[in-house]
Amino acid sequence: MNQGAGSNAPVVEVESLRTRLDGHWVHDGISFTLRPGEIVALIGGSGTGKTVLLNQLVGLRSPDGGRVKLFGQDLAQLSSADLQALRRRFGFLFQDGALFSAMRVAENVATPLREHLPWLALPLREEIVDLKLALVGLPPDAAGKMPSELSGGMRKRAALARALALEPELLFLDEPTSGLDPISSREFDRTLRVLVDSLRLTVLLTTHDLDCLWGLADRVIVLFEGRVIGDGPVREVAGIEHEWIRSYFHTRTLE
Amino acid sequence: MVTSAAREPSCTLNTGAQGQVLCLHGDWTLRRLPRLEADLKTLDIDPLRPLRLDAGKLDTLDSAGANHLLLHLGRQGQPFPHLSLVGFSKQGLALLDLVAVRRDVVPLRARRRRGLRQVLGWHAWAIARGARAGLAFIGQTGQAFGTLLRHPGSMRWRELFVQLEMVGLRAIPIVMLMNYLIGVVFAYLLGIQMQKFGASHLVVDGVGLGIAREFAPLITAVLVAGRSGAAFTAHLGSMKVNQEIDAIVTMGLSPFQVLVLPRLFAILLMLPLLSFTADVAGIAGAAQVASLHLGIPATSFYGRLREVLPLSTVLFGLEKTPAFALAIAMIACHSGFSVRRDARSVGLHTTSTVVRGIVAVLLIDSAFAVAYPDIQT
Repeated sequence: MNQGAGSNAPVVEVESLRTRLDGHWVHDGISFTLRPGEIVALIGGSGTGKTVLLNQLVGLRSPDGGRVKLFGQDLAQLSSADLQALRRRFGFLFQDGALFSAMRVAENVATPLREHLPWLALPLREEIVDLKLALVGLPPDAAGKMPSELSGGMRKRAALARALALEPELLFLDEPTSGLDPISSREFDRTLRVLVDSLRLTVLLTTHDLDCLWGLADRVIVLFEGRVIGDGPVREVAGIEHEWIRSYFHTRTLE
Repeated sequence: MVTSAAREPSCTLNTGAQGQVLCLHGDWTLRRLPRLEADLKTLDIDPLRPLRLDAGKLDTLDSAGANHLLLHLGRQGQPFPHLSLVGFSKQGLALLDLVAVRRDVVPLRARRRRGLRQVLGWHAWAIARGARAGLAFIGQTGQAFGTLLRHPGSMRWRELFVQLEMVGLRAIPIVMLMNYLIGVVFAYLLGIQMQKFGASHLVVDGVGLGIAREFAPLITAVLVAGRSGAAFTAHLGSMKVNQEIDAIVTMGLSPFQVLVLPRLFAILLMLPLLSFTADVAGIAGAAQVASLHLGIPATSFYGRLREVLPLSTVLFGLEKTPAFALAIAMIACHSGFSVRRDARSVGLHTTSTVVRGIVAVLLIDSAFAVAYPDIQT
């Protein structure tokens, strides 16, 4: 059995990316790569452009300089059809879920399946929807609810279920555990870890959750003043002598 | 995972001395699901004999594939805990375990279907609730108005003036244009009829009465219901979605004071004024047609108008407008406040505001027409 065996080519490559927002450079030469099967956390203070960076990685926004490659393909050089095809291979969890408010939760999860795999018979589709909702730990009655009837944490889980619907190879998560209680957060981390290990998923997430950082992330990338000031395993990065990094990790050691 | 070299999935069932062995081959993934389903259905699994899963030739397994396999085996009387698993990688086992455990915790959702009686009951209940909420809204607005009378200093002048500009000033061009055109059309049609009787000068009587008493107030109110009513609902609704209204409440302010009253006053003040500009524009349009097509010079048009159109008719037309204004503002603000926290709700409520606003205006207008049938000439 060779499940998940594949090339070790980088899934995400960012080369000296630059972004200008409101007259100043939010990103000033950012470079990093993600290899298959990694969970990488992107940290940085508020306003360091983490969400902007994620939007650029999925092609919602084009960078003002530098290059972004997903699965070895340069986003800037893809035709829109190729970009659409590429987009089926990754999932994106928006900060507030971005569930379609006019649809029930189950329909939200079924949408990518219906659009991209229209030949899938209804019972199979519903089976997958049920599975994804169960995987993210939503109670059964949530499936028939409208997103506006869910709590923030449940909306987040529903959105993750939708992001997982097409069995993506790459997941972008924008603050996946914010708004979840610590127990649900650890449960979320565990689910993500199993999914990553068994499906050889690659995950890039932004977070402010130190427990998630220590317990889940294989690697941490630290953004500070438009640059990457740390890139490595959590233990290594936490030891970097830099004022911001020290105070960031210090908030935990106080406990 | 899903590459061009993906392998067709299949499975074979061998029955040997030590029980049944199910061998899995190829890719057990989402995109292969229909094929998997068909394959699994052909197997004849004996629920009474132990089953072993052999993944020695399995290439890829994803959660959809694992889930389908376990569901099928479960239905065949081979639940996950009783299976013996051979040849799975550590990750594969973890995935099967995750899927099985999560499936256990969360049972299949029940699908609800609503019958006719439930639908009827649900709608009746919604109407009753809506009526109650509407009454509560009127009451709360009245309460806020009472507070304002006792504390006149709490008037939101800035918001009021912003609304006066939006509702009144910026609506003048469209209101005047519409009524000018109505005046033109009305005078033209009436003129053709009157010419048959050689009584073209009677056009002035008809146009003056029609525009001052009905057309100008009605057209203006319908325009304002569409224009400002929709704007109120959309604005208040987005504020509701964004929790801004909750923020106003937690600051110890009343959303009725801050949001509803300025809008209500703005429409109450502006609708009569707009109606008057509408009167002027409509009559100007009629005079234009009269001089160009009916041979009535503008001076004799206005001279006759002064004789046949008493001030009371104009005032009657304008007196209706505060009633229109009240209905439009209350419907629009209430509708905005009842938006639920999703984007579609804003659109639905805005549509309903415009429809209900226009219907209310026409109802009030007919009530006035029935209540005051006397027309002074």
